[in-house]
Amino acid sequence: MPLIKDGHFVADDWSRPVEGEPAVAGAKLILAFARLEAEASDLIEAGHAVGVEITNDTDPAALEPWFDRLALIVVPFPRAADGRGFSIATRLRRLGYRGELRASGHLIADQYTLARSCGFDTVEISDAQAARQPEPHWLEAEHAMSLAYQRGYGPLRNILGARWAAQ
Amino acid sequence: MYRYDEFDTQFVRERVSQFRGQVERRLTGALNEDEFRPLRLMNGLYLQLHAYMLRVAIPYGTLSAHQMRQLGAIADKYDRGYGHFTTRQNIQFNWPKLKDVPDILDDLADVEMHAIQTSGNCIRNVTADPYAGVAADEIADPRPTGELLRQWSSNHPEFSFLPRKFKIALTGARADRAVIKFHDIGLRLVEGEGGQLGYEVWAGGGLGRTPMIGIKVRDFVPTADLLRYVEAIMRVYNAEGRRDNKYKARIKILIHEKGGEDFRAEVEQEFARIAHDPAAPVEKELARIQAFFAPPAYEALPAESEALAKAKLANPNFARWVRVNTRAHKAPGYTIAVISLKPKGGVPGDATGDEMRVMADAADAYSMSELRVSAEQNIVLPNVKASDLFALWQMLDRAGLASSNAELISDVVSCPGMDYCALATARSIPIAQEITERFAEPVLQEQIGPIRIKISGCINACGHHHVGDIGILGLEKTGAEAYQITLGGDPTESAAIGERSGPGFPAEGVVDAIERLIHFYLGRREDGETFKQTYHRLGHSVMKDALYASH
Amino acid sequence: MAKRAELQIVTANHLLEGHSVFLGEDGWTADHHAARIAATPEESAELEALGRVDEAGNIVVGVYLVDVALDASGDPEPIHYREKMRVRAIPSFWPDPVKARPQSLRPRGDGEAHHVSL
Repeated sequence: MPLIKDGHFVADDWSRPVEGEPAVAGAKLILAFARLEAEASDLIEAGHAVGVEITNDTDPAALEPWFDRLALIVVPFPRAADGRGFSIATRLRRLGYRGELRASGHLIADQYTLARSCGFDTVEISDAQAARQPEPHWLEAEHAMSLAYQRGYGPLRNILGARWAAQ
Repeated sequence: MYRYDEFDTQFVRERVSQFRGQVERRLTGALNEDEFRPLRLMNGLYLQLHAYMLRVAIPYGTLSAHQMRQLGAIADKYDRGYGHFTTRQNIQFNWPKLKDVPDILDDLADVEMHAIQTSGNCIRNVTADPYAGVAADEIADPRPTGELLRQWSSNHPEFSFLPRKFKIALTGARADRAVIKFHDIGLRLVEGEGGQLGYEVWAGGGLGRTPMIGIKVRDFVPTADLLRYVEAIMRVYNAEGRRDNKYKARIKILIHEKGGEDFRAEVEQEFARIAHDPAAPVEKELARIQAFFAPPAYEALPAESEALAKAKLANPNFARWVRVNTRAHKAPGYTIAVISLKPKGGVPGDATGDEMRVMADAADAYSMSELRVSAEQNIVLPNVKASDLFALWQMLDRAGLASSNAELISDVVSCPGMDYCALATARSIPIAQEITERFAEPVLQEQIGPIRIKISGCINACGHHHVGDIGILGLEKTGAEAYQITLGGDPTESAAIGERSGPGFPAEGVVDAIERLIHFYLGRREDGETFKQTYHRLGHSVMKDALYASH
Repeated sequence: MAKRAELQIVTANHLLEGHSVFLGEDGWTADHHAARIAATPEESAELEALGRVDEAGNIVVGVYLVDVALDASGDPEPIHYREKMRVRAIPSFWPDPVKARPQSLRPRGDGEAHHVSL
């Protein structure tokens, strides 16, 4: 599945290991949240980078104890209209998670700046969607809006800050 | 009035360009309709029964004469020469072409207006008391808060794809003319201990399929904490609001299912988690905005105008208009004048381009260039000298805009219904037209006194039928339009949801039924009673039976 | 309307213009009398599928079937009141068949002020 970072389609070096199958040495592995407790510690010890894929109703606070050990958190977007992931990302960042945050599923290019603003680093979409919305659309979307009114969200220029600086 | 600075201007222009690109990508197929729909809705663009419809925001209901003139120009240039003012302080254009919409949005941006978030599952246009800033019963002007919330909610990165639409209403007065108890969030400016200003916060109200009166979430949120508190409510809703069933997706259902206590506790917990941002004091931004809403320099005028008294004596029709269509102003010698958009046989809330220009001219001449839009789908001139009322009335009357019926029986609120709307199950406008014709007689109207008739053409209740003294809901019954009547609704601080009467009426019978009820009320009312008072004294079942008297 | 009508036509909205259109022999038309008529469930399905092709092709949106009956001249007219209103393409209270901009949307003045000498 295509992965978008900084507006560009990039290679995805993470994989989702099938349960029960041995992991390739050094592979970066995404585990389902339910498998985290049982498998993550051993995998990290064996030198794997470990990420987790949560569901839409996971309480972000439940991941807090893992923040230091997780290199990636994947938040699903089952439909473009389902915006729960934006609140999950915001809360993860405010709780102090500093690793990579990935939105996965059906996000469209027009939501890209919203996702970036809530703290997502990368977006993973389907091949079919990537065919309709190729790389230039994402690059363009990233520059569609340059200003935001809300504070505490990145990376757009904040209007309140700019306004006060201009005074 | 608020004026955009360079940042507001750039923001709106960028949003227009973004939408222009989205329309282009829709036409090439890069965006399919499922993907495009939420994007066009977030710019106020619907696809209706006969055409696209563009809903333009009139934030907190405040409009300059200049802006009103531009709305008239848009109506003439891109539409069929008219627009429709709605119960949520928006204006709808009924016939735009998709390819013209980005140009319309640019024309709106020219006068510091937009259609951002007038639809979609996001925070909608913030509405307010139409008499904000001038009402005699006001504690503080709610419009600076409205502007603060407009900016804060615009293109919000976290809250633009909510489970369902989200509406916020504001008032700063004792009387509630903003229907705050029937909004997702209702805010009332109140004075806390030591005279400090803050907000009473209501949430979970709504009409539609499951009408509910909101619950009070907090007695007092200090001004400095308002955005954080609203953010906490939004975050709880975004995370937990139902997404499995669009009819159960509004915050009212979440609060109802969770229980008020749990909901409050969760909001408070989230509120406590949101750090106060010392670098961005809300008070500082609010103070900047407040400067735009500073009261104008009112002249020192006598409370009573001699010229007005004379004109009233000489012109009984003018006297009636003053009696019915003006409201108490906080400054002596000034008055609030209501321009009724409910002429006999007219379409409630509709105004032609020419009429918009007359209203703009009237505002320039007699109301410090300012107008308001009310939840009753009328236009309000907020700052009229009592001594100018006669000249104003003459100007309005020449344009057919001097109907003397504000808050009387022919001041009917109506959604567009099936004549325009793709969701409607029946027509609303023809029923409203028949009511205004049946009860056109001005003496009779004044005799009947204040009464709210509200009509919706489907269960979604855009015509607010649940809160009418008489509510009319148009439905389909065995392949024909049928109208169900509710009684006893109240949109104000004494909020009540109307109670359903018996079986519905066919289109030909509904106004007859209302006439029977009105005659019954006139026969049974006691001295000085309003319809509402008689209804409560006699009770629902007695009043309801009057609807069916000849059956 | 539990029972399926004998005859159906296909309608949608024109993507660019927004107005209602009907699938005719030579593509989409604003005139419902020129619509192709399906007389069996199979023909209906075929007609609807044809409409969907143009939906996927970004020409129209919101394709659906409308139950119709033939009028005295043999032209298809919708059965349901909603669709009857839709084929008129203007609000029901506008005089038919004027589809252009109305001269006057409503009577001027409410009649009560005009006897006064000002």
